[in-house]
Amino acid sequence: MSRRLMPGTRHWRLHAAATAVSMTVVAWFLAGKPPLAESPWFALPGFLHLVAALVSLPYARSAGSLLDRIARPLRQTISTAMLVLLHLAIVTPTGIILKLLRHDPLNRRPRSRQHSNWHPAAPFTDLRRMF
Amino acid sequence: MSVILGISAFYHDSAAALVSDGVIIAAAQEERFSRRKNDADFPVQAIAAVLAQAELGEADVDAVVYHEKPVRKFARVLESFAATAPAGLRSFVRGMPGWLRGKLDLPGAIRAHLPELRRDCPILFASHHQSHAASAWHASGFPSAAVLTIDGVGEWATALVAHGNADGLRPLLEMRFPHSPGLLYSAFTDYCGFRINSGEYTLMGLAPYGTPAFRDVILREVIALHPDGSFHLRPECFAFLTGERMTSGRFHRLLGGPPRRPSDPLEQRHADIARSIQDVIGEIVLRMARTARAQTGESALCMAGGVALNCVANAGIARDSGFARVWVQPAAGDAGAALGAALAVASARGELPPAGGTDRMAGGFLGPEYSQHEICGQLDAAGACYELLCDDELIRRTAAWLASGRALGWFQGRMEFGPRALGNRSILADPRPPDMQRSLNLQIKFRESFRPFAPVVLAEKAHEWFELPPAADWPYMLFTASLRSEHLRAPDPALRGFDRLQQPRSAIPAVTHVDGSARVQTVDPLRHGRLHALLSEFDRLTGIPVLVNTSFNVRGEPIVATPTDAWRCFCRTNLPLLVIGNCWIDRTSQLPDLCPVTAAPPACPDD
Repeated sequence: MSRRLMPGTRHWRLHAAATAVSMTVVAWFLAGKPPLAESPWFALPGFLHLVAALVSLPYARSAGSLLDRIARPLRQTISTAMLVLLHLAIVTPTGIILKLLRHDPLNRRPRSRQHSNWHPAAPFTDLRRMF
Repeated sequence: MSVILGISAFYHDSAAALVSDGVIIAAAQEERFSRRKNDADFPVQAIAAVLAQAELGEADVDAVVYHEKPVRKFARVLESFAATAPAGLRSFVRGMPGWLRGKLDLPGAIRAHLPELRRDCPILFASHHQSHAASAWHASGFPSAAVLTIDGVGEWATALVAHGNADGLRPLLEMRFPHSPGLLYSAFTDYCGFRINSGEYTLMGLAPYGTPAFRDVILREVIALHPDGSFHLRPECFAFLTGERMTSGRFHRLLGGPPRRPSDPLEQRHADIARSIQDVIGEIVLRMARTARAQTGESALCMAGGVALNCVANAGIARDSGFARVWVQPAAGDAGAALGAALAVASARGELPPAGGTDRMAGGFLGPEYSQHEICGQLDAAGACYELLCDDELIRRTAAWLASGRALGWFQGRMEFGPRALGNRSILADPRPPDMQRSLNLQIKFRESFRPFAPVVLAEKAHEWFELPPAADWPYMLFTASLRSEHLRAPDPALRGFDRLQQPRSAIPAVTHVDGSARVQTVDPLRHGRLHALLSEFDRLTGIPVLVNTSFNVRGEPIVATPTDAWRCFCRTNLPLLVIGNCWIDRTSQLPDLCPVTAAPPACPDD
């Protein structure tokens, strides 16, 4: 994916919203309870960040950028943790079940009598479809 | 008027192509503008360039087409992770954010990058190998043909056999991930210490210095090759499914040691490995071509996909597959998929004109060009000192310069589309001096001394120098041919490996590889007007209708795109002369502060 962040307002808002959510989740973990119920101040930076992004004023962007720099490592840590969790909770068990069922989607164990690895090709699908 | 914009992006070699009313108007790779080799970013500048070429804006585009089906590709990625779990955890964590950030929302990403697109402009998706196949068949000019595409991987397919005729393009057979000729060759490229996606050319050039000592090991232990050209990779030899590396410990043991690091010296073993995998790939694609012929019954073949840039394998197909005609898309890699996607849509809409027998690539010159006024403006801004010559004087002086045994930078007309410089963004040189190859490699291109150079030859005289039929039309530098025996000198049997570089193999040693072959490009007056005139004048002066042609860049950089790029590259190399349009730029006339008399090699770690 593009290594450069688009400077457009839509991208800025999406990016800022993701940061705000990350910060709120961190606040939740730190407080040990839902922040808006018990510890509203933990959620305040994320909330301000989101407001600044939605208002999209130049000075708000500067403040947002500063917050973003602080939030980025937290966001990356959370993202990594969630992906590890996803892999261990869903991908790995699915893979184990596939193996137990002797399903081999990558055809890594060619049968000894297999004399070709060509497969009939399906017709090209509708150009409007992404799949 | 119907305007279709094809895009390839986000993996490597992003590019844009514009097809209007079924005619290819322009195509360009993003790397040429961003100056980052194999740039994978969204091709913003390439799109601007192709639209500018047609004097159109984003709002004039009637359809945008992307070169892959992203959801199908994502499904393959997920299924591969599941099949290899838990081993692929690290790759999963590294790869997923990219997908979730935007690869799955391509319509959104495309509209964000092209804000002036009309809301009713559809965003379409051709499958990866459909794009490659369309780039080969629709551009070939053949009324009907067998189509063979071979590359790393698209969605699931790694190779495709299709049949193109009046009814359209019909896929017949495909080989599926991870069993991939492209990934197989890339694994060996990586093992030998060259960069994947650009070092494959280096590996191909290294092959003639070696012997096929590992061929049998590869065929016995690394892959299981079937008679029809399909094969199974043996998974225990490869690590790319689960990790950051391409090859496994077992692979290393089979080939006699750990992978070479880029800074390590090249050994004879690496040349032997390069030769062995070249032979294996040649055998695979030859068998695949025979399968395509058997499946379609056609006498013409067209090819695309990254593996179709292997000119040694292509020569084997042209010679031994039984096809009467073979055409290879000059932008066969993923950049060309942008063009293929656009052509696929044009074909689906019935906009393509009937095939006329000649290809639609206009010699590969599909990029931007610069008027003499623009060239002078850019050179003035850069502080270059130049002479402005009339056409005849330019050709006469340039040919005389080359005939005195020297090299020059040559920048003319429209930029090439695809990985090869075909004579408009080239370094040209006299092929006769025995030390020209070494000098060009070490002093100008700053790269390994063994790497061969390609010849450009007058089309009407190509058969006098190379083993080609008299009417051979090879304008894209995609096939190798042997020099005719009367021009070759017998090899010294005492010389082995890289020592063979010391012996000139012919009267034109700079373009004769150690095995007596050359990667030939024929030049005709229709597509290569000024280059043809230059070659004709060089022939008149020397009796040799051949010049060295290599890309105008230095190691690690993309080929130059603009006159300013050419000037900068000139200043950083030891080229003595630069010709841009009608401007004659002699190094000795330049200010030393801007253009030093002797340039140092760039600090570039990659290939």
